[in-house]
Parts: sequence; C-alpha cells; structure tokens
Amino acid sequence: MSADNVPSPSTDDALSHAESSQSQAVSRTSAAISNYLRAAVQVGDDAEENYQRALADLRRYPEAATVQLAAAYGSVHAHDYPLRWALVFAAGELKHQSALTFLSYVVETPIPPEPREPSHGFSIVGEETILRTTAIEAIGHLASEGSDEAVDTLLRALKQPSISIRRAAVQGLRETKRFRNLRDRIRAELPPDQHFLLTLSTPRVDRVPQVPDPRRFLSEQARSIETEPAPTLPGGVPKTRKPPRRK
Amino acid sequence: MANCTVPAHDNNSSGDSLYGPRACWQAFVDWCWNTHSFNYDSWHNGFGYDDCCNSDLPLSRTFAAFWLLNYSADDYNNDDYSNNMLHWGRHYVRDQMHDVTARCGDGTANATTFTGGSNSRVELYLPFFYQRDVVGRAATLVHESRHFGGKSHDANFPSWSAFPVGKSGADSSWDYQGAWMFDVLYLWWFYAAGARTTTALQQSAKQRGNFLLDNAFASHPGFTIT
Repeated sequence: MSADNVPSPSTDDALSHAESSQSQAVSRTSAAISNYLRAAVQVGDDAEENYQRALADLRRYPEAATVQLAAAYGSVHAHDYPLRWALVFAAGELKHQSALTFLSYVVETPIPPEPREPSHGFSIVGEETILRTTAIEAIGHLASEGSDEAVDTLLRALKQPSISIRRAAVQGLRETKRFRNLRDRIRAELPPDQHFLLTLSTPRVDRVPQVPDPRRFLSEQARSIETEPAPTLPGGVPKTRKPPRRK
Repeated sequence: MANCTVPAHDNNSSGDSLYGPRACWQAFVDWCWNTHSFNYDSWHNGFGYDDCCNSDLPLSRTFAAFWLLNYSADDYNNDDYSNNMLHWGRHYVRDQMHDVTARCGDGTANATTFTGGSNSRVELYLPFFYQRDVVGRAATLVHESRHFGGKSHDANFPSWSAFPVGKSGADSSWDYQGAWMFDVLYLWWFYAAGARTTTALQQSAKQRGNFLLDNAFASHPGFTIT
C-alpha cells in the first residue's frame, strides 16, 4: 500500500501479555509429538539425524500418533496458524494410511469466513486454505502409493470452492496411476474458467521469469544511499542486551 | 493509542525457537535496528525493546525474520543484484525498507507501507508477529519493500480468489513484477535453495507461495511450485 498524503505515525500502541500466551496444546500431547515438533525446527550437524529419529518414533505407532495429532489440532487456538500447520504437516510426514481420516477432516472442514475484510495481505481464509493444501499434498502421497480412499478424497476436494484446494487436488491426482483414466472426470468437476489447472506447468524456480536488474525498482532515495550489508556470521552466538539508543 | 494482547503462539512451529536465538546477537541487532531505522518509540510498551531476545515478543520475532532474510543463501555475502533472489532479496530490503514501526493493527493486515512523504514507513501488525512463521514474515518484508520501491498493486482480485473478490490489492500478472511476484519469488527460492533452515519451514514456504500464485494475481501465472 502506498499513500500520497502520509499521516504521521502513531507510536504509542501498547501490547500486554495474557497469563499464558505460549500455546498449551503441545504440552498436552505425547512426548513423541513434542519431540518431533522440536526436532522439526533444529538445524546443525546432527539435526537431520535427530529429525529422522523423532519421525521414526512418531511412525512407530502411526495410529496413536494420528489420534494425538488430531486431538492437539482440535485444542490449538484457531489463529495459531504456525502450530496448526505443523500438526498437519506432521500427520502428512507419517505417510501412513491411518492419517487419512484426520487429513480428510482438515480438508473437508468448511473454511470459516473472514471476520472482517482483509485489507492488506493477511487473510484468515488464506491461512485456513494453506492448512488444507498441506493436507491435500499428504493425501496425494497416499494416493500415489495406491490408496483408492485417498484418490476418492482428492476427487471430493475438486468440488470445493477454493481454487488452491482444487489445484492441490489436481496435482495430487496427477501423481497417481489412475490419472489418465480420471482426467475427463477431473475436467468435468472443475469450473470451465479453471480448466487451466490441468495444464499448469511445474518449472524449477530458475526457469520462471525473474527480476532483471532489481536496482531499477529502487526508489530514488534508496538509490542514493549506500547501505552496509549485515555482519558476517560469527562462529558462536554472542549474547545481546538491547538495541541501540535513539540517535 | 491502541491496546492489544499477545495471542497464543508456539515458538517451535513458527521457527522462532530456531531463529530467535540466532538473531540475539548484538552486532546483528545493532545493524538491523540502524539500517532499517526502527521507530524507537513504537517498540516500547510491550513490543520488546527492553527484551529484544525474548522470542515471545514482536521485536525478537521481527529480528528473526530479518535474520532469515539475510543469511538464508549459502554464500549470503554474495548479495549482488545479478544473482538470484535468495541473494539479492536481502540487498533490496536493506536498500529500501526504513522506519520499521510496531503497532497492534486491526487484525486485517500483516503490514502496511506508507510512501510519498516525510512520514514514509512500514507498520507491522500483530498477524505479522504471531500468525506467520519466520519465513512468512521475511516474505512480507520483501513484499513491503517492493511498495517502498514505488509499486502499488494494480488489479482487483479475480473471481476465484480467496482475497476479497473484485477488490483492489491484486497484481495484474507475474510480469507486472509487483509486490506479490517479489513475495512468491522469494518464498520459492527459499523453498528450493534456502540454507541454515529446516525442511518444515521450506515446505511452509512452498505452500504459501502456491497459495499466492493461485489467489493474488488477476491473471494466474500458469505455474505451480512442486
């Protein structure tokens, strides 16, 4: 957004803390799920090993893990989208048929309406849609492994009003052995103005149009100032106290 | 003056438990704060100025996004504009974004950039701090920087969009090279080649990128991220 008559900034908003704002949903789940969620955000020499170990723990009892992931999903604050997304992603990582019911539930739960019209970039419908496309991608994996039930779920998803859900379902169905036989049915399910979803290309990022010479898109003011790059990463991570005082 | 409350959040799944401690580094904090001329007054009153390493607070969560933006290319110091966007994204944001201001917001926007006068700035709101993971926040910084560069959205959202259909805020096409294209391209490069990160955050970037490809362009770009 840009504005010609720019109002002065208000800088006196105040943020307070609820008694406990850290989500409690995860602490109520099993150690396996908590470990997995922690391992999923680790990096470093042994991060992959830790992640695979946590995933293996989760996969050891996939039925139980699914039940717990679903329970956690149900108890998470509706607007804690990063956590809800992580739980859906974890269910997909099980790569097990037992997760299908939960994943289907996520996809088929109606998307709540926006409480207020989004003004710039943030959309409840958008965040809810991303949860569902993540679930569909996991269902697509099950479908590609031969699950007819997963294929049926993807076909049902084509009837949903969201273009992203349809697009993800089409992509999932493309990866199945049945796609050739299902193509006409898929086309019939899609609104005519969305038949292009069947022909979307899947290029690598370096094959799509880039931004030639991004400097052209700097404002005049930005072009006139030479900025200093971020400092080189240290070997360790020193402690910090606070930002500098106002100049 | 508005009052707001820290909403429920989980720092593991948002990536803040990973990126927050990384950004808690005095040289980086000083650089980030000064380069982007953070609005001093706005980061008080609970937004984290006095506790900038506390990942539960907006300032740390903002520094985390800037950290990701600056160090996610394997050879991050090579940020020449002739390179790919994972490299030059940080350069563009660094050259362009200033007067970073914290506010509560009304829940309908992540951020808003005001340009064209002496009060030009970017305002960041609660959904940016708590309802986006770290890579989603970084992409928002890229998006807003494009607005600083003078490019507004030029189209209405199409009939199939999850955003308000028929309302302004979309980009006409990928070739318009607007804020949504910058946003998606950054997410896509991060998904494809991001370093010092996790598979989960890369997958999250892919999902968000695809959502925007489907919904934020009046004319669908015709491709999808796989």
